[in-house]
Amino acid sequence: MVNTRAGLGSFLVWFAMFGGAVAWLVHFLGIYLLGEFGCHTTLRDVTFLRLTGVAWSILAVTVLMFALAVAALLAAHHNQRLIADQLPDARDNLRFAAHLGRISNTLFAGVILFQTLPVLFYLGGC
Amino acid sequence: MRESSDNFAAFERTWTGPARLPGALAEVNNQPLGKRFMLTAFIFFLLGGVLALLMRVQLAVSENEFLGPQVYNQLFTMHGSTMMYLFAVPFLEGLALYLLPMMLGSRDVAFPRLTAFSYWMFLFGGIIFYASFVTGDVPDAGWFSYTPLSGPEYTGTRQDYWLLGLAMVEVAGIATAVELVVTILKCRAPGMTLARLPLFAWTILVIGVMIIFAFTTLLVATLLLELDRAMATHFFNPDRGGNTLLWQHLFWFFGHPEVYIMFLPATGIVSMIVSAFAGRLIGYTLIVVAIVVTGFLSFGLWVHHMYTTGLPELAMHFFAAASLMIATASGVQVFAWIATLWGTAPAMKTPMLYVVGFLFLFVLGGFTGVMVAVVPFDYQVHDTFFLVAHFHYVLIGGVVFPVFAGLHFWLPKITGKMLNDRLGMLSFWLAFLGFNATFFPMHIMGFFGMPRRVYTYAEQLGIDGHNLLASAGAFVFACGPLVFVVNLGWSLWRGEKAAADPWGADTLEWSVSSPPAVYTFAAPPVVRGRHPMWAPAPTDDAETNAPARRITQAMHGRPVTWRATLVTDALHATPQAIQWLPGPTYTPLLAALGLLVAMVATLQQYYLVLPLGLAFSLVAVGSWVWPGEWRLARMRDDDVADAAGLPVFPSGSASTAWWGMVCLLAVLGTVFAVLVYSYYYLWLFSEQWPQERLPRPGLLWPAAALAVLAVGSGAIGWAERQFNRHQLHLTRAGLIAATVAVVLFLAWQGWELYSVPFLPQTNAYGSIYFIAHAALAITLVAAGVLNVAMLVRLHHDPQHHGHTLMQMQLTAMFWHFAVVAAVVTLLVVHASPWVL
Repeated sequence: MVNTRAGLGSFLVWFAMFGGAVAWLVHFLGIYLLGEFGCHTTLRDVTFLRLTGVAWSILAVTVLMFALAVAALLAAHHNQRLIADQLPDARDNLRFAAHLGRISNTLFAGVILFQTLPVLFYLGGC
Repeated sequence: MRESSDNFAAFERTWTGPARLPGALAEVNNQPLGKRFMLTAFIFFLLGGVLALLMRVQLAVSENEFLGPQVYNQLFTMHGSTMMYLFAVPFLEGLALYLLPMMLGSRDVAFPRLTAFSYWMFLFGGIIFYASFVTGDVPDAGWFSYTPLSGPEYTGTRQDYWLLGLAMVEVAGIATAVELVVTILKCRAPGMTLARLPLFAWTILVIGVMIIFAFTTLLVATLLLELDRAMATHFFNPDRGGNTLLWQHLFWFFGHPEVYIMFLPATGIVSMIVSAFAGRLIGYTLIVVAIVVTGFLSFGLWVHHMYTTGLPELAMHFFAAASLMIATASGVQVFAWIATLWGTAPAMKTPMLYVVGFLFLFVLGGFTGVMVAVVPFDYQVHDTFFLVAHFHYVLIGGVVFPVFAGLHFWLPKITGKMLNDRLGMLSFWLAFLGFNATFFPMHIMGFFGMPRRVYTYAEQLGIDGHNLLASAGAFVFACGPLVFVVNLGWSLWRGEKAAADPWGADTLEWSVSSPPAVYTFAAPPVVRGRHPMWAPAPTDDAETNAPARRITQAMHGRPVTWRATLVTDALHATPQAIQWLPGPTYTPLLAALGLLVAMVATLQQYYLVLPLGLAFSLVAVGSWVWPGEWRLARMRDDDVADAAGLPVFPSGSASTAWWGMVCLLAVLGTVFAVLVYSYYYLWLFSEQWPQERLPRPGLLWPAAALAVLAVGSGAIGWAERQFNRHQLHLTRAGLIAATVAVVLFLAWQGWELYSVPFLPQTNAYGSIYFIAHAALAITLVAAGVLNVAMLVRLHHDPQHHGHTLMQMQLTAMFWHFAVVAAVVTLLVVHASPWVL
């Protein structure tokens, strides 16, 4: 059976595994809603530094969610460092969780940035 | 010794369900129900195949009048609906229901009665679909049922068969998904950590979560469309402020994840077969990442079905990017399978042959998928046969071939008899060659401009030869499944007896006999590695094994008089409790029958019967969830808990009920999210809001009502704390206060809806206003009922027991959700018209 020692809470393990994925989902739904709704409302007419309100909003959501994905990635690194302190049976599982988190959070952080590329072509419109 | 053998016989009797009718209708065990799911879905698959053959006869030559446009529309609607709703997902869920407990080391799934309820809902939904053939009122608006074509003006009552049948199938799908998710998280053998979870289970876990969100969205959409049709609301009626694109958004928010809901378990099947035949598995973690990434990204693709509907270009590019990226995740899995097979010499038995066929077909379908993800290319081929070719390569190549691979792989476990390998190979080659002859020419037909969903084509297009080849190929393809059916019959009649592990595979289902005992494991197995059959648990580590050995010994053939399984921690699979499981009962069947009556009443417009059906169903569910005193006493008196050192009344996240409630709240949360989205989508394309100069809703009374509800929420929180302090009188006081708060809130809602100067039928604003309030009212009534149930429980059993604690926790969870739903709903419906 598997037991863990203090310092590696269950929430942190789950967050390190799926935090980036959740950040991507929130980011995607957010930028879709901003694209769909913002482009039909006055948000597209508001400009600051030649960027529309839609573009600014999308960039803001991107920064926030990219930060969340990176936080999940850092959590995975943090967990990886604590694995040695765990009881033997927990190590395999936590190593897997940390490994899964590092790959998927890196991927989702990249996807969040890639997903935002279209905004660069529509800085002044929709 | 004699006593021990008598006890084991009693244990087996406890688990043995009635074999004959009518008792078999009360069965709740995962094995017979999993088989029923698969058999029923397979029959629908054959029916859908017959419809496809009729369509191919119609299209064999140009300007053919074999079927005519009306019947052709009905056939392509029913073919698509059958394959998508009645075959693929139910079959895969049935396979998962059967296999997962065996694979995970559990005796059954987490909520056996929910399994039975799901099966009956699925069966009744399918019957409603096909009853349309009996009445001659066959749906004809496509498997996607686009509005306004599916509205009341164009389809009479025939689309009601589609909507109501689908609603039942969706409920079945959601219920099964909840079942599977909780089973995977909570019913694993000790030691089966997430790192050791079989890949098939990973895929089912991911699609289970996907179904909860995607199917719920479609369920709300179908409800709104049925309201448009039956109650003259206007959600999708542009004449009265509705929006047809709203349907497309809601439908495809379900529709695209649906593709991956079918595809991911198929990849799980492939991973299991590839590792069994290669004798190893390379890239486990990467495959898990790919499964998770695919599951998430699939929710970012729905608009790629709507490129030609005039959405803002910016929004479309987000979806194009996601559509391109999902190919990467699928590619990772393909490369992992190739790497696993590389350098090995797998025996090319039928399951492996189907897997190789899958790899070829799916990669081809995947390539065309990347092509249609590109917006300008999609503009060119939209609604042509190129798309028909693409999605059949993905769905048949990517789902049906793995399903047949899985059938050839696991049927020996299910039936205890081996299939004939020669017949299996014959069925593969017929299916593979016939499939390619049918669907490859469709790429070219699409480039030549042959439109899909049209009953014929002009001779001048010059594609008669392609179509004739496709039609001939379809008949060859159909012979593949027929040969499989013959093979199955032969196997049951004369087949060689199957060993426990005929393929030398690695997971736990191969550790039990073929076919397995109905309880699967007499004692919970202990897992020490990712491949338990290749690396059995070491027995020399006495210190680590001691707790596991104690549980295994305590639960060997026990409890004797009630069904139970071990529940473990979701992350590390550490034993947490012994979970009671129900025996045979008719309540799931009765609950589903009540809903069937309600659906048929709606179909026949006997609206007075509708509440009777619903009430009957609710009474059945009430009787289902209420724990009988005899059962509680039997559990309390059993010494299995002491022997194993585990509780039999778990609470909090140790209990499966807690996870079930989390899933239920996710479903309800999705319902409210869809309604909020619909509200703002209708607002977005309205010239005025509220429409037609209706007055804006009041703010004062809603604020007061929310304040009352907040007091109720506080009272529930207080009641829970008092309960934990064993202050049962104060607990009752808190529950009564919360119930009064709900009643006051509902009274205000009733008065509000009565006094507003419009109706749901006035315009789309009126429709969404009323439906949002109705959804909230239903949620709050449920919260009130849970309060009353808790009061009754405290009256009957005025002590602090584990099961009462769990009921209190569930009541509080639901209550807090209901209050959040009330705040969101009233903010959207009452406050936002003042700021928009």
